[in-house]
Amino acid sequence: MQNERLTNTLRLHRARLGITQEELAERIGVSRKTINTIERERFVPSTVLALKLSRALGVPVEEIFRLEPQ
Amino acid sequence: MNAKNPELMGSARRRLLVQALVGFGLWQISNLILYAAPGLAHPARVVLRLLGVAGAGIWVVQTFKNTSFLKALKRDPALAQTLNDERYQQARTRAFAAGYFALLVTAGLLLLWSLAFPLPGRIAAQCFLIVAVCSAMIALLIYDRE
Repeated sequence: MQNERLTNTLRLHRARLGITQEELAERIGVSRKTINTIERERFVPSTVLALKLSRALGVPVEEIFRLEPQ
Repeated sequence: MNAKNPELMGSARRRLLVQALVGFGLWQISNLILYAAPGLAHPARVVLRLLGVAGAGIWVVQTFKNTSFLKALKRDPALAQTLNDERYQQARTRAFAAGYFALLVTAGLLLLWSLAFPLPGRIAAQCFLIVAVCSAMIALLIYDRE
């Protein structure tokens, strides 16, 4: 099976809306550190958190997160 | 304590953890050395005793601060939830696991030691206590970094 890694475009979508990590964190009820670690791909969020991010940013979840070959 | 700002509260929690680690470490390690090396020179014993008392003092002070921190969180459930989000819960679980594995390694090392040298039960128990508490706290500080 091919190894894949989860990447995300969270930072781009956040920049498009012109909101800070802190503002996005407040909208979905997590800490700013959590948003930062997701953006830097150091923390993989749960499905629930991914869906909350998708709702807060107004884009489908698969536009934020995608699997790429390693 | 600014109970409204998750960023400040997160930093305060981290500082409390560092204080707990320093206090507990100084207190327990100096006591362990005093017990394990009864032949130490008088000045060294005095220094160790003072370090132990200072460590216990830091531990007590941070315990009071921690209580007021927890009270502030109880007054603001949304903030408590933000500070205990899934990333922090994962960091805490990983820290517990790190503490558990450190404990297993310590058990193995002390077992080996006891095959060659006498090992009083109190020293073994105190070693377990120090390793379990300190390794879990250090691991949490590391996993909670950005």
